[in-house]
Amino acid sequence: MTQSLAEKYRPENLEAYDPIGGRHPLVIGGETLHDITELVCRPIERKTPKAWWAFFLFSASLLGIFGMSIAYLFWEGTGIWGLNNPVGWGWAIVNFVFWVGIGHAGTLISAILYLFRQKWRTGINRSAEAMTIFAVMCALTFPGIHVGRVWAAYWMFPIPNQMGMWPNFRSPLLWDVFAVSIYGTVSVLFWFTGLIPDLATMRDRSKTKIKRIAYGIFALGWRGSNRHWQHYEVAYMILAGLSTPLVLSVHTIVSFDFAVSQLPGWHTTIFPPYFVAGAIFSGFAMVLTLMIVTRKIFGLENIVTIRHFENMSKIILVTGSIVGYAYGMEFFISWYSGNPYETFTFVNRAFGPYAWAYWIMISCNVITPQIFWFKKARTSIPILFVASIFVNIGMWFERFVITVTSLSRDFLPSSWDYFSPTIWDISCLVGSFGLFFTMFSLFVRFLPQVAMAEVKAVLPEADPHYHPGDAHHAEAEGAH
Amino acid sequence: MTQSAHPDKNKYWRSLADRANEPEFLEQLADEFPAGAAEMPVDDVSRRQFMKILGASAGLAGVTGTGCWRKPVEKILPYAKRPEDLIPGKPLYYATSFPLGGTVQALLVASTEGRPTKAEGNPDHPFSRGTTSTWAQASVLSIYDPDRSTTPTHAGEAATWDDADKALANIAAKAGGMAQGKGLALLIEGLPSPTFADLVARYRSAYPMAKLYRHDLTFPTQTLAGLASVGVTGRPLAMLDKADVVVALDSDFLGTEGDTTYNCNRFADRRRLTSEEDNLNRLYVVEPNFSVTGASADNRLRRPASQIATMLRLIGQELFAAGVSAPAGAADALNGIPAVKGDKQSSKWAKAIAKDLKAHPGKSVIMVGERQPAACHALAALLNEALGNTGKTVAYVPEIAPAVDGDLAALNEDIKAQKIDTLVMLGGNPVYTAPADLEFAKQLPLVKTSIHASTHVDETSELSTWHLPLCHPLEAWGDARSNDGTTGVQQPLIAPIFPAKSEIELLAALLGEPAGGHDLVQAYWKKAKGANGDFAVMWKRWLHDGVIDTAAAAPAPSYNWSGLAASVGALKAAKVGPESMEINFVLDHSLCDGRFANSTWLQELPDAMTKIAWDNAALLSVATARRLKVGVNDVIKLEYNGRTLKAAAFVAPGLADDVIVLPFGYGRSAGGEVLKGPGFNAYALQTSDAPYFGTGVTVKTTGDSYELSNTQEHGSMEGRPIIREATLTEYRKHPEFVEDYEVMEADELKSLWKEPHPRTGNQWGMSIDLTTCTGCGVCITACQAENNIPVVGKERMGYGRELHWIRMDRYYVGDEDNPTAALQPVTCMQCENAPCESVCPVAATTHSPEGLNDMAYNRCIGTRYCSNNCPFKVRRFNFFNYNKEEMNKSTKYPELSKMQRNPNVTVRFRGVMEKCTYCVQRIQAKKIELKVKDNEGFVPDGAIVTACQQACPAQAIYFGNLNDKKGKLVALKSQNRDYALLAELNLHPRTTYLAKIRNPNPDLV
Repeated sequence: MTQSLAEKYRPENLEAYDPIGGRHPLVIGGETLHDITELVCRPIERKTPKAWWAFFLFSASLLGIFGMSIAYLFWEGTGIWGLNNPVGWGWAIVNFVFWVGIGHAGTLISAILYLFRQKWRTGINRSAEAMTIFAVMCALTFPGIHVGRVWAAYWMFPIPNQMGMWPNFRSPLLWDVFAVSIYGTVSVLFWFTGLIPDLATMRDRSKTKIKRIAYGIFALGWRGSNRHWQHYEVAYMILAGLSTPLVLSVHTIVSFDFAVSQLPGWHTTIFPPYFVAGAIFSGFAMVLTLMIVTRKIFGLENIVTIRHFENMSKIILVTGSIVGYAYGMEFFISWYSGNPYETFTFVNRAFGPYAWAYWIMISCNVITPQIFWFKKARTSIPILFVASIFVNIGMWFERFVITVTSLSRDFLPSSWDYFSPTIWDISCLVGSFGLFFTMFSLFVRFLPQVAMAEVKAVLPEADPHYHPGDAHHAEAEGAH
Repeated sequence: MTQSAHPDKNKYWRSLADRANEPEFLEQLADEFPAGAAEMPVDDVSRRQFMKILGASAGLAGVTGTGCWRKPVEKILPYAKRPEDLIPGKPLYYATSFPLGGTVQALLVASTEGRPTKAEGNPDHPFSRGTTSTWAQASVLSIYDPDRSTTPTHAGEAATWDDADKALANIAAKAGGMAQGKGLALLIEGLPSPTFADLVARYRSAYPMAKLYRHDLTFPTQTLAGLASVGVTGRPLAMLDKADVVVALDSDFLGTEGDTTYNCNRFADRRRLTSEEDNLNRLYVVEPNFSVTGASADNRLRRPASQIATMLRLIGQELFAAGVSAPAGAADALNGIPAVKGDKQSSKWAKAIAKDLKAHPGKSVIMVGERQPAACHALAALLNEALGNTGKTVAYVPEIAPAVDGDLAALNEDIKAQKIDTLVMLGGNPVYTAPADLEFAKQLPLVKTSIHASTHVDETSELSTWHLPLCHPLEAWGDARSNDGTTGVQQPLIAPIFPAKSEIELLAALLGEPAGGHDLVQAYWKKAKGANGDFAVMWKRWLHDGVIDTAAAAPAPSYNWSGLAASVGALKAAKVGPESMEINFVLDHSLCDGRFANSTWLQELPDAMTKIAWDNAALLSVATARRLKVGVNDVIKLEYNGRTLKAAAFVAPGLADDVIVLPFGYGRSAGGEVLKGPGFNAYALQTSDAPYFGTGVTVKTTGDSYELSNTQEHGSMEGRPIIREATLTEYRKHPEFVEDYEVMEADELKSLWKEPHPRTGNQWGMSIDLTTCTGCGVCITACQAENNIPVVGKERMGYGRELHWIRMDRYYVGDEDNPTAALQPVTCMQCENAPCESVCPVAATTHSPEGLNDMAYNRCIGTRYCSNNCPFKVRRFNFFNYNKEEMNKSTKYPELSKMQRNPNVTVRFRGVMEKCTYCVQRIQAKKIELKVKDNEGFVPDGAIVTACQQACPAQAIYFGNLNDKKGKLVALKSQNRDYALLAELNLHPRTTYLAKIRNPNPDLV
């Protein structure tokens, strides 16, 4: 029976429909429940491929650069970066906001799309969440290391202390501490909760004792009983509910770092929605970049289908356009407000000494995604890949433009100065990618990168009404 | 204790209460060790609670690693016997004098536990009025310069002072008697000391054949020569407080030339407006460079230096044509001077200036810069006399500087002629400062015995047979006469840090009568004042006041105009144009003639106009740079009289076209670690016949580039209301003109919240008058000295990491070829709605009840958010551990750089934000002195002065108490010129500015 179905729903036959839902099947190629398990688990269980080692060592050496840069930074002081008097925040904060933004897609996919019953999320949510967590890790590094006296950075936390001092609750930086750390915590919990049934699968398939114990500990004694599933579904739903506002709040609060200040170019009420849109934009781009590569390497084309990419590129198109609208609106408001400082700042962005950065941003963030109006582009892997890289670059530059151009030319022209990065600025950015990819390579090596349990739940077989061989039913549904 | 209930005869009783067996006592006894004493609350914290907190703290300390740090062991030793009057941490002040070339700064120097830490002007000194120059401010740093010479050297080898004394005694013995000093020569600087002058006179009488030369660019050689040519003996002293019209021809009298602090102070007296009804003096400046004097000008005309003489002659012609009568006996001389013709604009200006001068007889003054040839000074004296200014706005104070046989060129000739076998150089650095054509470095080794006394082993020391360490002025006894004739004592603040002698001690040794400076000064003044019994009392008074005699009225000069016509007629106005460009050498705003090149503070002080720090540059006007296709930082090759120099170019708006201005003082090669490297040696192009300017320089581009560190790259205000300016006429017509600049209507600036701080008690504020401020930058160095501000160095200044808490912003207005410039000191405004405070995550910067925007350095973790949110960008960040670097710079004497530190100001660590807090340490000190608590009691306005205010020669800065309604601050702030910088942001800054008013001649607008 499965044989005939497999033929019917071949990948090339895209007109085919899910026999139950009446929609395109989410998993193509007629993979069965067991096929899914095999597809996902096999790469973890097989001997470590050389290519993995190569990639891991490459990432780990970048991470080493990160570590060394941070060590040197702690030893010498923040002066090793290109910061100066007007530009008090440079690449460290740019990287922070960039990574926090990247960290948006995962939770959005797993929480918001979950609540909206967007079942296509199941193919990509696990890696997207992992990506989120690693991105948040990268992000959290930067505010920690960018302060002048790192050894006193813990004063930002409300810990009882001999000074009898609270942190300053009026400061957006403190809100940041709460927002990002809560987001990080909830994201980890959410991700881990989702992992439990799959970890149990891994445990059950383990052939060595160490693996069995290691996966066993984290599987928390999962046996797949009805009761487990019931509790699991509730917990997952609650966490999804908890995460949903966090997706919106974390970048809103990150945007407050800028919006609450009074610097022209920062002090903008449009920032919270604009930042959230930008974050989703960059997050999805990063998911695209990663998935295009991993799906190929791990042979997950039937689970992570071109339709996933198409959906994600539509989101990129929407959020990219929102971001483009925000850029335009900023200009409009800067003129409409009649505020001379505001007007100057935006004209300066586009035509001042940092115009190059501004136009990189516009080209990458506003122009590039427009290609996704075309289905051909949405379904072309090379175009998707290149566009997603462009969006990542563009979004880094967006943060650079906001942070640095505004600071470098503010109210009093006497204090204007140009910021140029040093080798240490660059090494910290490159190094943070090292951290990200090291974590990601460990993830794909040791954890199931697709939520098997969830994917299985969206297979036609998972439907209670699924009757193998009942082609009539399927066609009747499909005809509707 | 039950026995007490059953009194026993034999039992000892504890107290009368015990014996009486009072119930209270029994109760008390039972309470002494009650049950459960272990849980007894102590101040509401139970023992367990206490142990818990203790444990948690220890745990946390372990977690953070703070508990694991090994702090260096430092020993503090108390005084076994406290010196009289010394209270640790409380400075003592001593009056002294700081001679600088031809001028004197009367100082009151703070001594903290025996270390001079801060120089202030001596308010009891009538010439100084308590103000200082940048150079005097930096004196407390140069005394601790680790590169100072530590020992005499002979032929490059270290020698002892015994050897050196013997060598001097030998010279004295050889020169004395029949030899009459033949072959002996003495090269001096323009030290304005009566004792020194007396010793030089004795040198002249003891060694009649010996020679005496002077070489000092700060000494008005050309001025004195010009005046002497018309019979005037004395140095001109402009009494600017009495002048309505000031004409400065190539005279940077507010910046680098002569008594700048005195000039600045008296000039500002005539620019201190209280309302639109007040009058303002008027300053005309004609100059090739754009100096701070030019920036203060009401009317400024840029002209090459070669044409200044023509300008002066034109003004003279117009004056006499307008009917001003020639002074007695000058008619013939005047008729003998051939008429000159100026270009259209010069003639127009000359006419307008002459008209103005004529309208203000006896209330105007014509000042000619030292850079101009002698004849110009003679002609200026004539014009001043004709205008009746002599004795009213300009006096000729008899000069005490000894008459010399010649300048360095003459010495050079005599060395060449082998007339000199022993040369003693007291101070100065002639090998470096000699004009290139003399090739003095080649001549000096020809002298058999050359002795050079200087504070550093510099270029001259290296080529001399003997180098003798010279005292720093704050280490030496001496005396000094200011240019108005006021004399004062110079008393040492500290024994020489390295064994050294002063000029007068060395001169006495050269006379064969070695004596200590103290005895020499006393001996001179005993002789001068009569050694009666009161001398000891007088001496004490002099030491206390710093003043010996106040100025006597300058005698009326007796002119002899006979030579004037010839000398003025001989002035040739060289043509300046693209074909024959003019080069100008000027004293540097920071380093003077190069003598301060090893002072990090002065290297770091940006030039007042160009804002270049740590370098000089070849300055060109915008049009000239465009014509030559030269940009900022391009290295150009200057060729002048067959010599070449490569220098970085800098485009300076407002310079005369086809003119290159190259300041002296840079490009040194020996004498310290700091001075090596920066800048370009202007002396390498200078010639002795035209020491300050000449035509015929050619400029070639090299294609190389040189990184100049500039603290202000952008010179335009971009149409923002930053410096608000009006002419006096406009101001009178519309006294509320500052309001027109407002971006926001006053009623739009409302707060959503009620004022959180009660404005009671002492509320500090500041007012800065942009009309009197000349932009000289003394405040910057004064602040650096007061507040332990470390030096960051050239590269970091280039990055934009300067650490000065107060900076001097300079903006150009108008046409880029011929702009006007305005300068504005900017420091923390102490905003009432401070944007920096709300964004600090750890509350390291908070508002004091007295309205200060305080910084708790210990609390700061260095997020730099405060700086980002500060619209004035006055917060400064310690990107590195600058203080430690500074201390480690000298491996030989790491303790030295610590000695200048103000003990009342925290030395900031790396990673900490710092900023101005209105010298909060001074506020606290005064409050302690007056026993005033926060919000209790009252410190009257004027009781506290901030460091910048105290140093400001123009007294443009005023700090005071806003709640002292009768105080000066409230009066200043209630002027209609008062405005807040960036008022539209509604920050309510406590520092406000008084708008700049200029008084240009309406005929020239």
